Amino acid sequence: MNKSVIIEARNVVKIYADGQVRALDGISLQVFAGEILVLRGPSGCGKSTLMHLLGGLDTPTSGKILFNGLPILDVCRVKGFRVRNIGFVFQAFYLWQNLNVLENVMLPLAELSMSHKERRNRVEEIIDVVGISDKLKASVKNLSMGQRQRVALARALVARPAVVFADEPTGSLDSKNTENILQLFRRINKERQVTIAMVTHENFLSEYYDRQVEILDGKVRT
Amino acid sequence: MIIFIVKIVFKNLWQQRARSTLTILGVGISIAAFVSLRGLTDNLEKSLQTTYKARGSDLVVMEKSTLDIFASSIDQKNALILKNIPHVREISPVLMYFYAVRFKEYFMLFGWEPGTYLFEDLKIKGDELHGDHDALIGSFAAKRLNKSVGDRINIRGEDFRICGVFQSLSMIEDGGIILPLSTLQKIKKTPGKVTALNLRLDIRDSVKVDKVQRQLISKQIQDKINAQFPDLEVKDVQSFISTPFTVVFSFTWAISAMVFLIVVMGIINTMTTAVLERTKEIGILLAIGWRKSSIVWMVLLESVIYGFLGGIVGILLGYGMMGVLLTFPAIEGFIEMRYDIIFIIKSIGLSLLVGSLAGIYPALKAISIQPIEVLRNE
Repeated sequence: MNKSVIIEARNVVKIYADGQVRALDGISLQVFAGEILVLRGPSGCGKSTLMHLLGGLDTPTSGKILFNGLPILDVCRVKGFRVRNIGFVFQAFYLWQNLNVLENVMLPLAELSMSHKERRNRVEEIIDVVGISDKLKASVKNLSMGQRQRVALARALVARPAVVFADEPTGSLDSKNTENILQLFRRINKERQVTIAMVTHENFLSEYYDRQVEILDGKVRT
Repeated sequence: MIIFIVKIVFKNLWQQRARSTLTILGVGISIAAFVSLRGLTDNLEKSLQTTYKARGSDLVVMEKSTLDIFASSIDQKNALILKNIPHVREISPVLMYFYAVRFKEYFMLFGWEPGTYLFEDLKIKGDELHGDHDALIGSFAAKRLNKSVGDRINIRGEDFRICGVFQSLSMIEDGGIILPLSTLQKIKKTPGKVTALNLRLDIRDSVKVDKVQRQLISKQIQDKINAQFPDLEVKDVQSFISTPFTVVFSFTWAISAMVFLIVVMGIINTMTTAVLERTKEIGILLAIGWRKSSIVWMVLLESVIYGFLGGIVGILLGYGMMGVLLTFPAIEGFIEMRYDIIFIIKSIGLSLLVGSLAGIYPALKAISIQPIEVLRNE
């Protein structure tokens, strides 16, 4: 069965402003709808840069990034596009320390037109999915690392995006929490048909992903 | 969704309680300076308006080109000629004189001719002015000086009998002392001179003359007097009161403008610091899909809240300061404490405007944050 391509990088080059660092060197890559793709490589290989480009956060020096066949930077200018289509999970979680779990997860929904009740239902539903329903009103400062990553994942999923990018999602977690989070990613991927692209330097068991691409020195390793 | 953003903004303010409190206090003190300054001048103008309304005068004749009423000095005998002008029913000369009855305690001395219409609305306890050395004392002045009917009072070396204590609608009069005109002229060493001539027209109570006609007749009389007496100036009561205040108001506006500039700079400083501190959070909001306009609203809202809360604190402090200032002997008895709801609403409106303006630069700073830079730096 042919899988549809949701995001595609075509011969992408990224050179940083000082011109000295060639972070990506002509990468071409396809992300298929509904898969879990792991972009694996050592530190400094350019995998995070690639993720930022694929997620429309940065512009390539040359080459193209397409989302469902359209230039991603163009579609990102459409109101609400990013919130509805792309979610992000970061290694450092990046939660607002002065907001509670409910408020942190609700943040992306501020961009969407919906009633407060609908918004609240969405948040409660996704918090239940990630397994922290009992922490709804808790301050994120009082959560464990594993719980914080679940809040970050809930925030990435709450607007029901088509793709979730996760940058070293287990980088701050111990082995037990790492396994739990990976299982959660797999479950969400299967139950909600969310495409997940994970960047990591770790070796994950193959049951947690569908495809793995090795990145080395800004290139896809063949 | 605005409620959610408001909630975030309040949590941000609460997180930096000390800074927020100091900023609100700073804004509040500046607004208080504006409120008390404007409040005092407004209330002084209103007190003067009440004084003249209470006296029932239609026109006031004073020395030409004198901004300050107390600097005006005209011949009392002009009244004899003015009396012949059609529609002029009565003329009451008045001499006004600021005088420290006690050390640094100033009272307004009024020289009025007994029997003129000026006395009509005064509620007098005791007797009216009869002798040269009779004094009518306002109820507030009587309280300040601890005097009552029958007591004696010394004014510039002359001994006066307090023949009555009066109550007036005007705070200035209530805090003053009325002497016979000729006596005050003697004390002041300005015989035959008065500060102003108050004119009452015969059209004021006429039901046959409507407001427009009344204004027209009043204008004709003014033009006639102005043409006939080059040294005199005649004004209706409203413009007579407001003319000297145009200078005072220009002055208070200039000070207020500086005050608001200080407020704007204070809020800009706080908000810019807050935005720089939240660079990571703002970058992440942009990364998860918040539009720049939402970030602008969030920052502007926080800035407006500083302005609003500072405005509330400023109004409370301002009226408090005004209350304290009005107890100072130098101005006690001249200005009445009034709570003007329109002025309060305007002050809050100005605070909101200042808050919004001050938020523009920090908001622009916030949307210049690049999420990718935040992520790379982390």
